[in-house]
Amino acid sequence: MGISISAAGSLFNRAKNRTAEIDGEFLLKVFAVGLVALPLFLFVLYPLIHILGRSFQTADGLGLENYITVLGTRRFFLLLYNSFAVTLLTTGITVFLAYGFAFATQRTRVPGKNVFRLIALIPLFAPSLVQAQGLLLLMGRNGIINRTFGTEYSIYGFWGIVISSVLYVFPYAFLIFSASLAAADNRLYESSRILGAGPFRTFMTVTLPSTRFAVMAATFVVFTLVITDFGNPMVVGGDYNVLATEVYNQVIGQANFELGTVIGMVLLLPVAAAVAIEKVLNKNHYGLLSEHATPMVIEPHHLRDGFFAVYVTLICLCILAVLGIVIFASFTHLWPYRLDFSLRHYAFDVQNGIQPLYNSIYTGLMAAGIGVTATGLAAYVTERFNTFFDTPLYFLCIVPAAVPGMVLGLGYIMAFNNPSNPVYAIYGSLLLIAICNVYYYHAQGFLIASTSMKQISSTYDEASAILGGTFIRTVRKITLPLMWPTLLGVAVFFFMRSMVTLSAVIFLMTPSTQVAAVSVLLLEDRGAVNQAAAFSVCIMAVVVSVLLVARILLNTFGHRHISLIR
Amino acid sequence: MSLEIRNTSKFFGRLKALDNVSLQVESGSLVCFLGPSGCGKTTLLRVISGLLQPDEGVLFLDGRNLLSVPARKRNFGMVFQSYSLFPNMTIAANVAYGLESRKWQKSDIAERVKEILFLVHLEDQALKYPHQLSGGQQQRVALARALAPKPSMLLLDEPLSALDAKVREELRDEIKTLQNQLRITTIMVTHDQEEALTLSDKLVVMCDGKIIQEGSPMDVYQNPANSFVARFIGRMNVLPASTGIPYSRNGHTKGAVPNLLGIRPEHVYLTTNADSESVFKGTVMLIRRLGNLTRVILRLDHIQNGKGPIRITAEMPGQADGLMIGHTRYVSMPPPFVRILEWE
Repeated sequence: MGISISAAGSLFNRAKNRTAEIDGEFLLKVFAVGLVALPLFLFVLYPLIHILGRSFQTADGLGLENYITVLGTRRFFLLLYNSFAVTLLTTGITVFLAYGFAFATQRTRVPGKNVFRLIALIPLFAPSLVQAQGLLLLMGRNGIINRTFGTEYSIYGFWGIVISSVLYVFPYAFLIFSASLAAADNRLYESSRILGAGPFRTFMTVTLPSTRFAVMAATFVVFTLVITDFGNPMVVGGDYNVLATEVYNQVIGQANFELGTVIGMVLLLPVAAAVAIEKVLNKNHYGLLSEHATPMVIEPHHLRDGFFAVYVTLICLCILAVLGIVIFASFTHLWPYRLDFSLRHYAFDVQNGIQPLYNSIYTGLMAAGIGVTATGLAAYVTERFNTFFDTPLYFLCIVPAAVPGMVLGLGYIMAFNNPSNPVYAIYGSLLLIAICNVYYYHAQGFLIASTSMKQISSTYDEASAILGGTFIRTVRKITLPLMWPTLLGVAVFFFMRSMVTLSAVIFLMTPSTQVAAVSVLLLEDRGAVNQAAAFSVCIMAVVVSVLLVARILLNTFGHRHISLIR
Repeated sequence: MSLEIRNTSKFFGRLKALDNVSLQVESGSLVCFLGPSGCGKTTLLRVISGLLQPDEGVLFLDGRNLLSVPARKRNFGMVFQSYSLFPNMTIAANVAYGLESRKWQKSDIAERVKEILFLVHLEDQALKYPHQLSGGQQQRVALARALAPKPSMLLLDEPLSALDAKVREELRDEIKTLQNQLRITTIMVTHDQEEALTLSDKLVVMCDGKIIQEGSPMDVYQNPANSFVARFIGRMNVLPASTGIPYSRNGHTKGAVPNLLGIRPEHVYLTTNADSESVFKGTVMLIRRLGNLTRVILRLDHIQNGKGPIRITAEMPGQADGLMIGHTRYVSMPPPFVRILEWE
């Protein structure tokens, strides 16, 4: 009897304590969780469900017919083979080269490291197909090499795609390795030396194991980028087709949405698998640096430093050659016949004129604003609210990483090109393109914001609460002032990606909402290489200017450590 | 303001961080929660502050139920272990934060900030930022920030543990002076027994989410409730009662048989000859000369527990000149100082 009374008493207490929690702030939390989750459902999951449904839709109801039509053909297996051949070879080459490059900038005494580092990152500022563009100017039928030596060499096809893809994804892999190699515990290297290990053995037993997570992460990131990229294969692939270009051809060329969606679903599988494996492996990734670690001391070593100086110089020459030739071509009278200086391609006397560039900037600004709001809020809610929804919300926030841009764009057509859907109101506008870019890059923006949120001690929030500060006051007076440098970085990230991306927006643009990166593709396709080059140069110029302004702003307020290039 | 905590429990998953805790905090007193890490002392403080909701139990402040009052409306001041000064604000702005939250008049705020910074001797640092101050100064600002809105109670979460020994002692005295001056009810969490002994009016010793003993520092020191308290507060020789050492019943229940006995090292006396009655022959195993004090560890040759001869620690003032390892000494333990720590 006594037991039952005390049990009832404790139940009563619990219930009473819980009602005490349900005050205004609790409702605010529920509201904020909804504010984060609903757009993710609407702009990520809903389009995906639509595209999945459409892939099963046939003339006589739901069925596997589309899959049978596509998967049963020889052509499909050829595309699958081509995609994997290009992707796996590119991934192998890039991971190897980028590791060496990062090693050179972090673990050797190669002079001018910062310059090399910056050159390696330049491709990030350019539209994603600029590599193919440059490669054609160098080694295409009318390229500088054939013109100079009178040869008939053609880069179109497999090797063209591989080379341009390697150049395209190189900076992404380099950034991952660079961050990983920057963290080093000198004590391990000293121990290794004292135990008599040579440089090679030290590398194999200390350096490589401590960067194995970076190797895996880079492998998966590069794999995903290459298999979903269609700009470079479109321009330099020639008759060599891959899955990504096939989606484009089926949808834009033949208006065959069903077959396009089936191939899109096929593309989704390896990407989702790669992202999932990467996340699972990363889960067991404990901090490799203890707090007692001592910073790395790099002794000069002539042979090693000489070798890597040559190595990074060669790679930088390749990157600069491809980008440089694009810039050069944009200033010639008529490539490759009249190479005298001319600004006439910057008059943009093409259809739509310079409007696509303004569209790009406008879209980029909107994407920056929406992106920083969405990911900042998502990071705050998952890091600070301690609600039951933290884990599912976190998962929802990083799901977009597993969705190829083309698939998301295609999903937007399926889901929103429908007058009965409220989003139809903005269908065919730059706003929807900006939203598409935001949710395509949501995972990365979110991770940047939430990492920074983790570093801001939650005791500030507690101190504010004890001092009588409301939730809103805490955010306004403490969280935002501490977060703004990171948030500026996130905004710049969304702007930059929005300026250069092709895959997510290609299906969403109309003649009046054409963006500059798409202009490059269309002009290149028409053979207007000079104008295409001029557009690429303008995109790079805008991105670099924005980066410079943001950098100056951050440095002025003493935030040198915030990195803007991701 | 007096605080009453009644039958309070808190779970973190399956871990019982607070286990049916009840406690009375008198108005104007300074109470220390003392215990090893993980004993629940910080959890209890956070429950009092309102940053955590208990799963069971009730809290009353002057008879008013506190549970329905959110942390920001409890009007408590709190100092965190890591200071938690807002890095984006000046010292003055940090101190003014709680006043602005309470919608004080601008002129009143300026006056109060000045007054409270003067109280912690930081009036000339008002326009600096936290990172420009030393650790001790930062903690003083944290104290000023907590006290500025005239809170009804002050909560200190290991406020001195991040400071080095010299500054810690200085600030400890300052906290005591301030608390005396303002007569503000104060609860302080610490794992440092010296801090707890010197500061508190009431000592609350915790272990595994439970209160083991509470009382005045002297009372807890002289009459530890069990061997855990005895070992945690100061040093104590813990001996099995079966050794036959005479002890004082000291008001304890008559008739019952003690299991463990304890004696503080400063009450263990060493002599060179066996003249008095209750002496045990011992061999010096280790001598630690600490300057003003010498600590000697001896093996009692004829007293065994399960594992072999018993070791005992004695402390004496001065340098204990001439004493060397291997010497034989006679150990006397006056019965009035031999406490019962555990009953059978």
